[in-house]
Amino acid sequence: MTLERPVLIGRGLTKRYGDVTAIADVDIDIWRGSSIALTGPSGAGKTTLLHVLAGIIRPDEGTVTLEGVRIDSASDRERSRLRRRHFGFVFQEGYLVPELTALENVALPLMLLGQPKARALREAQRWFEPFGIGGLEHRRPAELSGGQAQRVAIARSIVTGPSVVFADEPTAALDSETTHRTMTLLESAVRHANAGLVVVTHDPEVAARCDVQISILDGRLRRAA
Amino acid sequence: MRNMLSLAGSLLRGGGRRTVLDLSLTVVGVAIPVAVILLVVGTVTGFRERENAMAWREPTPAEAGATALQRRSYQAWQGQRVDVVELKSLDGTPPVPPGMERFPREGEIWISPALEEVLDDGGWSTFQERLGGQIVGVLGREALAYGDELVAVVGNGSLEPTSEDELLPFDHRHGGGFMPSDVLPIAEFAESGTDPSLPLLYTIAAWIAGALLVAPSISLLGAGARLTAARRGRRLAALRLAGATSGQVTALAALETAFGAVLGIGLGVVVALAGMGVVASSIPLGGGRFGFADLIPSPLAFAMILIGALVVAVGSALAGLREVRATPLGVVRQARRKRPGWRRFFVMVAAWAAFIATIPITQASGQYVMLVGGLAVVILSISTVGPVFAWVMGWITTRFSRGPRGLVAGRRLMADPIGSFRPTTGLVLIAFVAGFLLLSSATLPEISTDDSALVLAAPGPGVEVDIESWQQRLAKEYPEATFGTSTYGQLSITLPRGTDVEAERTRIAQITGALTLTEAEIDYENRLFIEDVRRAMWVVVGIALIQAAFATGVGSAASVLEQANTLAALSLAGTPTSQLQGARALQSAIPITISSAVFVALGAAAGGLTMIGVDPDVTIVIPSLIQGAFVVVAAAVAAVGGAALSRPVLQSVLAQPLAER
Repeated sequence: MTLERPVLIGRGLTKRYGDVTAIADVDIDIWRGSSIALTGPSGAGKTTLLHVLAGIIRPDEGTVTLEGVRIDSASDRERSRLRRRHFGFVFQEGYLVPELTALENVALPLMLLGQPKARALREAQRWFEPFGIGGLEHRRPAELSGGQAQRVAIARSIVTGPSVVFADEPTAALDSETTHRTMTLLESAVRHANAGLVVVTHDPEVAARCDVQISILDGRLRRAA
Repeated sequence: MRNMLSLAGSLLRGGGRRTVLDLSLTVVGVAIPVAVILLVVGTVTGFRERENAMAWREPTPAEAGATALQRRSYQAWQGQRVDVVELKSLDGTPPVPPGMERFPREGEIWISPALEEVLDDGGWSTFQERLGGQIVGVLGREALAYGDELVAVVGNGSLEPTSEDELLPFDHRHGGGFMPSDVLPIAEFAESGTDPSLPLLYTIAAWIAGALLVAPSISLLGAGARLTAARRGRRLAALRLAGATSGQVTALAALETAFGAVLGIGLGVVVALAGMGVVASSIPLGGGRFGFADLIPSPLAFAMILIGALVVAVGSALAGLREVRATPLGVVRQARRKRPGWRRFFVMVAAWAAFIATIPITQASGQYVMLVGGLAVVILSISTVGPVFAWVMGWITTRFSRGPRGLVAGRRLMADPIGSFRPTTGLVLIAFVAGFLLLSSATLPEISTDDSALVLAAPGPGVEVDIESWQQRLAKEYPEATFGTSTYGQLSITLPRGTDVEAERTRIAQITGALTLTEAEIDYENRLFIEDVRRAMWVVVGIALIQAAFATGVGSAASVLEQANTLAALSLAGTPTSQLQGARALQSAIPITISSAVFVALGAAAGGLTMIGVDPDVTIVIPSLIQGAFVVVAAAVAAVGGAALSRPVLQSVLAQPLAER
């Protein structure tokens, strides 16, 4: 019998910027197939915690373990490689590469992992119909609506089959109807990939959709549901 | 206005690292073209000064009240040319020549310091004998066009004014030969004038080089300022939303850009002065080096260049803010840009067709102006067709790329072919000209360097010469000499080895009255000019490469700043910086390398066609491919090096957390 363990574990995480403590002694577990919402006022430390968990920045204290492997002490190069292979990212404004088509944007992470272009494009193509963006493959980001661009960004985050998807205010620029549709898609995609989901959000409705909600204030976890 | 100044100051001070980067781009974008323009104008000024400095040697006939007689002639000396001014006082009150304490008395010779050095090697008495006098003084700098010039002033009492019906029908300096001028009565020495021989050719060449370098310089100047201003769009749009009027936003952008442009102009002046120092100390043109002061443009030209740079920089910045000024919500959007139309391609085809059509017309009529016009049309079509090349190269790169680097680079080329081609414009023009010069100069008949025989030329236009009589007289004096015919059909005499050529040249001239020159000396000006053009071509190519590298760097850095958030997001997602930078280098290297190769080849084709237009029977000589390949490889290195200049900007952008943007 195999005992299920969290895919990503943070223990005693502390990060300071000069005299300011962004996060202090945070413990957190991310499980496959489940979602966590990080909420709190601006400057509370939500994004810092997300960046520490994703290996973008190193904590001053504490450890981050991805499937049994410490990533907080890994080199920049190694952490980049781990992010490429194991993590997906969705940002507030999508941040798609403006010159590439929607299809090429989705295929980009696969190509960065070394897949030949033709195969990467074929693989990326599979996500368009299920995501409701079929027919938009050859459009540039500037020719997509905000909701469509965010769907492309979600497809890009999931195409490599990540262990964890990090979403930083993924719906902040969307109206409530599009927010609802985008979150439904994100949850379903993450579940389909059996990945963990970490969402940084100000929106209580978005937070309420997640399995766990964590509030951060002055860098400390205040409440977990 | 005071509030605007205060607000502009606050925006600059409070902008942090991004503002420093923005400002740096404007400073570099302005400094490089300002330096290039000042150097080009400085070189033209230098030749103008040189023309004025040598103007006194050319006799300017006095209408009335002549006080002296003057003739200008040339002497060949050890393969170089000595400018000789012969003077005779008429009434005891002649003008004092520049660089001399007084008018030379009969039989006196004054020589330039460089000529003194040459004669110190052993030709002192021969030279005195040839000019018929005694060396008594050294000419001052005011007499010379440049420090190393060989000049002699002779007091010649035997001068008699040339009679009306013997006056030369043309300017004796035409063609760069050794023909003396008429003996003319003068009242004073000219202080300025134009020279139809070398200085004119050099001035034309400098303007051509300037045109090749200045057009892309202005484009770079505008690009630097426009791109930084366009990035300010978001901030200025916020000011509009806060209630600032269109005029206030315009004033703010103008003040910010003007601040950077003034710094850039200052840096450009420093770089230009350093460049003038290098030209003055290390690059001989037209036979000698310029004095540093000769290269400084006039205050008016200087002011016009600096004000012009400021106006173009600020104007470009304001053009980049059109959308923000029109509406507060008009922040620059990334939209699909129009693909360059195929009409552009047909413009080039039509230009070539027109050029080729001029060849038979030129051959039939002998009117080279048609050929030059056709060539100009071809050169002008280059910047029109360039974006089509960039788009096609982008399409090919996208189609055949196997990795993300080529895909992103290719797509960027296709997305903005005009912007991608802009930094390469100057280099592509230079590549075309380099190709043209490589083939046409290789095809030109070789300039003679033969100094083994003395050629006896007629001493003046229309002077009948009896070659047989010359040969008979010389055969008696030089029984061991051999006689032949020069390239131009004149009698030539080869003296035995070990003969003092300068001494015997003097004797032969006395025996025959002929001009005695070696073939190398006859081709002196042509050789000087062609050598200088070849050297200058590489200097111009070098400057164009530096400009292209900076233009690529500025464009690349600006686009990094424009796409800062996207690049940061990609980096956060694990995209290696090397991939991001690699795509950027590839995006720069592809158009610049392929365009250079294509346009070197097209330039060579145009050069070949021009030579055929001038002479249908010419045998085209294919020049060394190494030189052409060098231009292409150097262009690629400049592009990649230029893109590498944006690496610190990329790293700075990636170092800033996304949340803080």
